[in-house]
Amino acid sequence: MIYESLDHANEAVIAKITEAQPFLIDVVPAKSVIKALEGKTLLHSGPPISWNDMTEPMQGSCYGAVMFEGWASSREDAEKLLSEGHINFIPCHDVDAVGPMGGITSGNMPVLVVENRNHGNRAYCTLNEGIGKVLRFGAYGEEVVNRLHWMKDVLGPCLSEALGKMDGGMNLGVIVSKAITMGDEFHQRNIAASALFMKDIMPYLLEAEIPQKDLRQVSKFLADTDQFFLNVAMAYCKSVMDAAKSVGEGTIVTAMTRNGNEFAIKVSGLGDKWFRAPVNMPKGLFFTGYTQEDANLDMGDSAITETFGVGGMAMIAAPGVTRFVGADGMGAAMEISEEMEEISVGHNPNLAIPTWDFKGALVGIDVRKVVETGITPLINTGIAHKKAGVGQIGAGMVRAPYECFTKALEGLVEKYVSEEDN
Amino acid sequence: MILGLLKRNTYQDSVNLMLLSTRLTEKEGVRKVSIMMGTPANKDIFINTGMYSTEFDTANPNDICIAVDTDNLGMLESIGEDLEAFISDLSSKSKDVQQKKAKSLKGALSKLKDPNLALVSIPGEYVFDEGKRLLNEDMNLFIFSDNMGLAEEKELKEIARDKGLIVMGPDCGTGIISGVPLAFANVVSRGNIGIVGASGTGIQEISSIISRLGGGVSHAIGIGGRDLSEEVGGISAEIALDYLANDKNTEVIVFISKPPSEAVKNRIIDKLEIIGKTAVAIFLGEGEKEQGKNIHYASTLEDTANLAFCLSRKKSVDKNKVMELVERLDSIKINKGQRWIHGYYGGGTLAGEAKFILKKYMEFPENKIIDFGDDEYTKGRPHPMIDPGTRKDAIGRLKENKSVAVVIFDNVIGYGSSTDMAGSLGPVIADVLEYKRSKGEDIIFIASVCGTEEDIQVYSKQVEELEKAGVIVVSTNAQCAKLALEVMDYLNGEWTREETTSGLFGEELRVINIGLESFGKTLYDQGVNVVQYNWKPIAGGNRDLQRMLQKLESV
Repeated sequence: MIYESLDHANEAVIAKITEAQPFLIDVVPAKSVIKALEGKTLLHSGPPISWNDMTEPMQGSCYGAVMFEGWASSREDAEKLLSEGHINFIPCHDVDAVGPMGGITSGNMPVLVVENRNHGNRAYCTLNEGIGKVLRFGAYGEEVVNRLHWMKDVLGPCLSEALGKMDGGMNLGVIVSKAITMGDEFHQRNIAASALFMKDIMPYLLEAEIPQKDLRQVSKFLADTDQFFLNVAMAYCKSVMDAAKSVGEGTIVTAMTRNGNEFAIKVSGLGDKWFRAPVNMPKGLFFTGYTQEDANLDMGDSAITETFGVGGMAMIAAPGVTRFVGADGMGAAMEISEEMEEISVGHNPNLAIPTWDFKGALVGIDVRKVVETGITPLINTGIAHKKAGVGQIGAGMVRAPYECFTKALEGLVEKYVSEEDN
Repeated sequence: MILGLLKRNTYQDSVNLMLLSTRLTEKEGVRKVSIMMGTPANKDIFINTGMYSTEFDTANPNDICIAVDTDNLGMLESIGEDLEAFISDLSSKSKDVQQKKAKSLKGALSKLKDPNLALVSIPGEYVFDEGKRLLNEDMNLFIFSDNMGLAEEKELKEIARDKGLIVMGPDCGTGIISGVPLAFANVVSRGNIGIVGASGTGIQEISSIISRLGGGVSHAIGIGGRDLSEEVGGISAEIALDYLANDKNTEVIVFISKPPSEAVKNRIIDKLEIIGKTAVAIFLGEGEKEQGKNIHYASTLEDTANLAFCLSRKKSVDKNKVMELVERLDSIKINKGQRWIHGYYGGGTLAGEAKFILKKYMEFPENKIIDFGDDEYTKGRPHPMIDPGTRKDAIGRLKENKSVAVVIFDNVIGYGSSTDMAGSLGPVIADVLEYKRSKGEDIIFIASVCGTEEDIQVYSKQVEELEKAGVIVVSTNAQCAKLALEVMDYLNGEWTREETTSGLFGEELRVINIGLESFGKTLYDQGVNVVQYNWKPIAGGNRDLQRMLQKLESV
């Protein structure tokens, strides 16, 4: 190791995180930037998983994507195609991408392109579709597929044009710094960041030569979609954490993700190896008519936000969601953040949190600290119905399984402690 | 000249930048500071205000630009350091209202600066490892937990000794440090008796009796039941005795022990003999022994307490009592002419005793202890124990007297005396104090009441009346004069507050409470700076994981 100690290596990892400089530069069809999507291939969230192991909502997303791509015209045909192994599956994380919930991404879906100028790498994520019956939560009906087409034909190209007119693209660091002072934690709540996004892009949308009808639809969609920035934040965090991963040493978690079956983490000193354990069941509040009984197991790449230090790790920043996600008010939010502080290496000076006496959001989850204290990262999450086709039924919190971290610790000992000492 | 500094890729909002700018402007040698993010609009402002530096040519909107107008070229480096310090510590310093809690030692340490005591009540099998970690952080240990190996106890105590720290316990049930009760302890008056003991309830019984008698305790240090065994060798006992020997608030030392090993006992006795302070020792189960040079031996806890109390009374008044008045004294100290003491007595013998105790001040004629019962004051008028008149006049004249700082007096009650001397003097005293305070001045009244509860005037009622008027009432005339003596010494600069402190037993307690939350809560309720460390065994007690963590520590 070129670093004096693991702590020094971790400092280098933290520097990559705090000095990152992500810009949103474009929105493009996924296959134009992700070569793996050229054939009949779908990206999914979490570590690698086969069709048979997917929980229903992720399978539901696959039906929707297959129909959107025109590879099948009905759910039955889609199911046949998928179950007979005609579709390849690749984790989003393997191709510089992240996807919320099911994370199902196909070649013609538009993706956000975020460039981390400090490191020169890029990250991708699909566009947020809004709430309720949406693909990422396993819905695949006509309205879902129609919306995907509209996003491909109208929303994506319009945003691309507007972004093209912004000199150097949109500086996401500034939006994130501002929005965290406005009560966003970027996982469960993105309303401030979404508003700032719209405020920043609007002049350029107007400047672009977009037909009135499309402009009306796009601005209505942006105005209605409170969680629009979630996907932007995910690509932002992915671009930052991939840069952090490049350090190649240390004990900092660089990815956390779930596929509905397994939770998996990557660690800065251990490259792209996934350390996996069975996922937990999220607990939270449910929309009318649904209960905990209907909830699907934990899934999605969106825990990349917690990996970066926001989401559940920054609960105290978002008093507005503490009740919604089951925490009992500010006192509980403070307790959660102080608990998360115990497994983190430091604070991110770019993300001062007013409700935390302007302490920065946490940065750098240290595997050693998690194992030592038994405190596992807390993740804010949406909750999908366990049946395919229903969609989102609630939101809540879930813990990363301890076992991922003990396995990673073994990996670290294997790498860093020589045979004779071991 | 304008110097420019860039901090790349660090977005801060304008409020933070303004705060930083205010801080930097205060630096010596800085004429003007301008700090903005490097947006094109802001760069224009730099140009228009004459604060532009070519450093900013390459600045991006995500870069902090600092322009400094200064003649000092070296200024940039120091400003760079200030900037780093500022952004690494943005959190505002608001007052804590909630009790602080942590789930790891590092978490606890991040919430309390320089803790000096760890109160440990976790399962005994974990105490050794945790204890070592805590000693490593320079904390003294109070170990309530039991079931710890003898060898481990010894090792911990040796580590502590080498670091200039102390381990109280294990199996230490009680302790009082600087008036703060720890674990099982009573609310005991502060005083000049220091206690070292290998017995929890023994300490509680003795300290309680002392307090009820009217005495007080400086510190009570539990050392654990096995400290005086052959194996441990009295390591903590010796450290505790050294502490008390050096502690200015401790004038009498009580040592309490179950029968110790003979060798250890002899060492302790030798130490007590040379320590230079009066000691009372009790080795439970042993009979009375002849008094040593410095050591008085007792055979029961009651005798121990009584002896210690009597001996403590022979000493000067403990400085803690003076400390309770320290703010008033400091305000008097400002008036350089206000240094004299007056005594207004009704009882001749009491006046004589006061004169004797205060004799070092009696050589100055301005200091007067007056016996108003003396013939020259009683010509043609009744005795001052019956008639408050002469003393009322004397007290009233203090209103315009700017040189008297301290007044002592007696109130002798009983058959024949005034039926309510306190009721007569009290209003005059209250009037003087009110008048003085209205002019930003102060004066100290100290008194004792000679009499009993059964007297017609009723002792406690007379005390209450005087206290209501603003008089400090102590239990005897000698105490009254001794307190006055300490106050005079303080006013004359013979000792200062700082001198009364030394080590853990002189510092303000900063405690990490590991384990039983109620112990931490008690401290928190008493206003002690305490962090609750909700301890769990490392890695859930999994030995394999603990070993792995340990291995990684050296990487």
